[in-house]
Amino acid sequence: MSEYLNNIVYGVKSFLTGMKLTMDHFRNKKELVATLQYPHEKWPVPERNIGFNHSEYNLIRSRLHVDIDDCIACMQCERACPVDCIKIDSIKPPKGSEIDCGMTSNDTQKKMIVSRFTIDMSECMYCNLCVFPCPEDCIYMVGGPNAEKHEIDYEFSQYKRDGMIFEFADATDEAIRDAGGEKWLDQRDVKLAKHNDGVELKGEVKSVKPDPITAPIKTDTPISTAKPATQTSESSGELEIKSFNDISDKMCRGIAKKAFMAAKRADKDAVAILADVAQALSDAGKMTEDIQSILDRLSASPSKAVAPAVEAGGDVKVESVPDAPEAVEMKEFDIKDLNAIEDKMARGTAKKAFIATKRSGEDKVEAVRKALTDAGKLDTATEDLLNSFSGAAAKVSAPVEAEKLAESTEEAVVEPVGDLPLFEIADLNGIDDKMTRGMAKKIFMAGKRTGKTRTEVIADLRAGLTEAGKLDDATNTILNKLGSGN
Amino acid sequence: MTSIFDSLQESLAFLNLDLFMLLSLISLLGGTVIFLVMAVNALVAVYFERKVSAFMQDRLGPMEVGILGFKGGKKFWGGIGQTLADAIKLLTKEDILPKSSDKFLMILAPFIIFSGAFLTFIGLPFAQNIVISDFNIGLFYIVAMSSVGVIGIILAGWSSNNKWSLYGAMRAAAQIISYEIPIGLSLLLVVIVSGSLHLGDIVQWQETNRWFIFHSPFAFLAFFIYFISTVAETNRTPFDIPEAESELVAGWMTEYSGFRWALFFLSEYANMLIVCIVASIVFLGGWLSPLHLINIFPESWYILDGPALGFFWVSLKAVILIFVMMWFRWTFPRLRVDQLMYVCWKVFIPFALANLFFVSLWELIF
Amino acid sequence: MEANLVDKSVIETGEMVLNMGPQHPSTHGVLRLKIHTDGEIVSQIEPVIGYLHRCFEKHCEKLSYEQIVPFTDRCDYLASMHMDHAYSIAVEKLLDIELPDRVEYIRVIIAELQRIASHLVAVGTFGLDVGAITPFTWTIRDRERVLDLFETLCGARLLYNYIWPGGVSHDLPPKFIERALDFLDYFDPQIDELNNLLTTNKIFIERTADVGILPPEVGINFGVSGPSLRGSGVNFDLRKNEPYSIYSKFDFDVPVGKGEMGTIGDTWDRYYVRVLEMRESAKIIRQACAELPGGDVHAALPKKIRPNAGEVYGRYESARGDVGFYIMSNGKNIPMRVKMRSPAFCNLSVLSEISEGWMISDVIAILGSLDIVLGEIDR
Repeated sequence: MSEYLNNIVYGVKSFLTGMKLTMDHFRNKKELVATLQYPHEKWPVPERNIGFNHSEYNLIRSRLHVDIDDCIACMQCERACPVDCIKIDSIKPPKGSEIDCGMTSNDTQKKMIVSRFTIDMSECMYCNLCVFPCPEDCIYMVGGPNAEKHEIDYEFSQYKRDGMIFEFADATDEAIRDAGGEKWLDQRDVKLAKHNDGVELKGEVKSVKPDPITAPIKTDTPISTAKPATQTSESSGELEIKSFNDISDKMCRGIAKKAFMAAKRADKDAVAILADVAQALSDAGKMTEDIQSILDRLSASPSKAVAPAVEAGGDVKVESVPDAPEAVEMKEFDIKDLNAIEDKMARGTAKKAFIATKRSGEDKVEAVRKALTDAGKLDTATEDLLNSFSGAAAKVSAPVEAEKLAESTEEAVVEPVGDLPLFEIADLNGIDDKMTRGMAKKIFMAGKRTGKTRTEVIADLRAGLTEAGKLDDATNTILNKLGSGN
Repeated sequence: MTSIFDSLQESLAFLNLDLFMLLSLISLLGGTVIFLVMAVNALVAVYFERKVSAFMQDRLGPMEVGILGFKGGKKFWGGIGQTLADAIKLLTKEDILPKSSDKFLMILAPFIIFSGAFLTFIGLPFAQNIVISDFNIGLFYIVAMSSVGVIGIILAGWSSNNKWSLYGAMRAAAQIISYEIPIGLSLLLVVIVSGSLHLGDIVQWQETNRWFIFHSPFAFLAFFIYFISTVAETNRTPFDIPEAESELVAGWMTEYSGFRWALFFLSEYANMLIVCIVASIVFLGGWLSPLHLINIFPESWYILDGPALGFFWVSLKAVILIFVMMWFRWTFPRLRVDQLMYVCWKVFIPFALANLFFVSLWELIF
Repeated sequence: MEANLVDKSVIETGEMVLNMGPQHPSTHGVLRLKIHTDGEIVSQIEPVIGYLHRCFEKHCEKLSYEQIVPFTDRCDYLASMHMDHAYSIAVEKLLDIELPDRVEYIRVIIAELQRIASHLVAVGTFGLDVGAITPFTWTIRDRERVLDLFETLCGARLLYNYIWPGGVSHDLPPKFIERALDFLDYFDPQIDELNNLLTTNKIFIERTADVGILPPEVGINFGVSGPSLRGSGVNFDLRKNEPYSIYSKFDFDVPVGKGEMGTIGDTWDRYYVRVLEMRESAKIIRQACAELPGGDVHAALPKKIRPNAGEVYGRYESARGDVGFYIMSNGKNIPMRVKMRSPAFCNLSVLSEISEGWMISDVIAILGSLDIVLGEIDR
């Protein structure tokens, strides 16, 4: 009983103590309130001026900033970052060139042009590790002791994640090109094109035809360059079973493919195969106009033109086949070629004219020439350039035509034709001999670093291995397989 | 004694309606008044609670949503529009009914709980003669009606088809029914002394004698038993076991959202107001000024009484009691289910029974 | 009589499985508990972990020794400094580095401040678990002061990357010692206030005393460590028993549970040990601040960490218990394998054992008293 009462008394006492405490806080709210009304008031950012070597050091963890003028592209920060949120590309001007990359504020001669310096702040974990190794003190977190370099910015919220990627490099395309960064620019453009395609695919499906402005820009990327000769020669002359995928009716497709296989097994040539297929289809009573036109096309354009196109373009359907001459011209006279025009204004006029005529099917060379003449900018050099193109139009080569076929298919071509992505180094693991493998990988890495395409790398591999006498049959098969993109 | 109901009946007599129509009209008007009182009470009480809790915890509470404009670049009234904004948000929110819930009961439950609080207001005087309908068994009616809500709570917990909600509902049912007993016993003590269940008569007794809380030591104790039991009845900390945020997240309200949840909220704060008004009428002199505390002053001193001031005194006493409830909430931890039952059955009920006995003796002796 | 009340053939009673978490306010992160209950009484608990798994140990095999430090930060995010310190001690053992005195003193001051900050969260959220909201805001308010100190120290408030293998990233800023001592002067009365509001509150005692008793032998068998084990009366603290750094120089007590309000090893004891430890930490900080020597904090910082092949195990008394880092090196600048002993993981494993037969509300109190951090359990 006494315990029961003691409990109650102790309880009431402790309750009163607690209530007195909260009441004290309630009454003295003016002094005790610890809230900071954030958007209206802000804590002072802590100041300090000592650190490494007692020099000023950054002691705030806000947004990373780079004084790009001071950056010597030593890559130390990129290597220090545990989450790989810093990406640096640099271009070294070729030896003997006169290009001056500038001086840093510490009077260090810069030897490279920084073509890309992106920091993805959405990945950054504010560990500060990139700040310490920088020899030029050019990467730092803004504000705090660095306030005179850059004002504080810890409120950089964005509605889209893309907004968190900060690009610090400010080298112009011209400067990069001058320093020999042509290849880098091309690669960047391919990436950008892919990125843009991805962005478009995420949203509404736009009309199948690309709009006239983007079409020439697309050709600006190295999509149409360097069609691998080996690849075409390997696959040309073969009518592929894939060619029949265009036939929309399932049953017809089946019949056609069956007939194709039968004919192929009998070692018939392309024309004969097509005849067989047509025969089989009409026997089955399935011959429609569409199928007829497809077959016509397959037989009209020599198989060596169609097949590689279909193959190289992957599953891209060939729906409309432009006339061969136009395709040739488009290839031969590219908007990029106009870059050779020196005068800036003339170049602009020419490009404008080119874009305007690009899709109308007019003769572009003539159109450009006319536009330039009208503007009074047609000098001899340009004249020569244009002439060279109109002359080149005659030289039609099958691979080129094939590319244009695939490229000008009006569907969005995501994969650049003939520019299959570089295969993985792991693909070389199929090579049995250890030494050969090592050598192959070395060549691969060298090729990769210089940004070579798949075919170039494979050619390099062939040459290198043959030189060393290591190119046996198995390795050759692997290389062939890689070359055909499987 | 007159009531709002009676006075409306008289003043609307000129309309010459038949009795049914007249009564319907008056009921509608009365209902509107009650609903307004409940809504305004919830708006003000939530803001009040937020500020009280904030200041006790060294915070500021809502500061941004003001309705009265700016002053020196800052909002003038610290967040006074916050509860209004929240109310609008609740009303425009998506109404979610879980797929496997018992939809009929789930829709019904908030209305039962709301009706419980709503009906109680009919017999609850805010001042002398300011009562919707004046019952001569007012106290009994209020105690009876405030227990209706528990049916709704059980329905809500059961129909949600959620184990946590079921726990909350079961705890709530056990708790509310248990604490009805000490509440009833403490109020019975008042009835024994004043000899009436009519709230006006009880205040009348206090006017002629003194505040009931000072009737005897036992009445003093009875007030505390009543008050703490009502804290449990309204499910507030330290007795907020049915909705225990850190255990059951929101108890029987877990699956509710939007307007239905707003009804729960409205009823909860309405219940707080009800028990506090009852406490102030029954124990703290109702619409009498504090001078009636011991009633030894000459007659001319009692100028602070009157119809308008009566409303003020009832409100003031109720607000102070509500503040104490909030004070409890932001000071104490939560009890466990069995401890809650222990407090009710082994502390409050024995004490209340003893009180009843001793007060009867007291009445016999004095 | 009973047979008439309940017709067992119609009404079946059985075990109910309650799923608590991973989204629940009282599981201190993304922990999921499968609770088997009979009414409110708990018969068995199965903790389900892994919702916060971040492949910490695998990451370590791809990162250099310096780069791992930010990741150790993120293991126990309430006591990041302790994790950095524990990892650094292991790496220094591997490298066989002798540290300057100043570094050791700074590390001790920082670690004990961090212990205060971590225990403040533990104590506050424990109050929250049993329904008291006000103590939580007060302890969080005090913790902010510690975080402010850390911000002047290294610019970060939560994940510091401050203690590095071989030293610390920055020297103490000017006036840091004064500010730290100011904080301690401010902090002492706050503990009294907390005790008055929460520790001695009758409801709090009812809720925690005699609840979830962890007998010392069970605790030791389950590998429980830190304040959770000391609450059971086991005097085991690595700072005393296996002194690392310079803890042997300081005079401090190791508070253990005495069963003041109930049985030794109950929830209240585990809670109160943390409150007392904050006072002990304050004592250590005062001593260390008084003796702080000068010197260069970067003297022993290696230019490049490339230890010889070998293995090492470093132990450390963090706010949750006995943290261990087992590092295998094969002579490269990247560790071959890093294994972390997580104290909260072992502490959590005892939950089912000690909460059988208690109510759901008690399970939450017991879980709160074990003070787990899911970032460290899941890694």
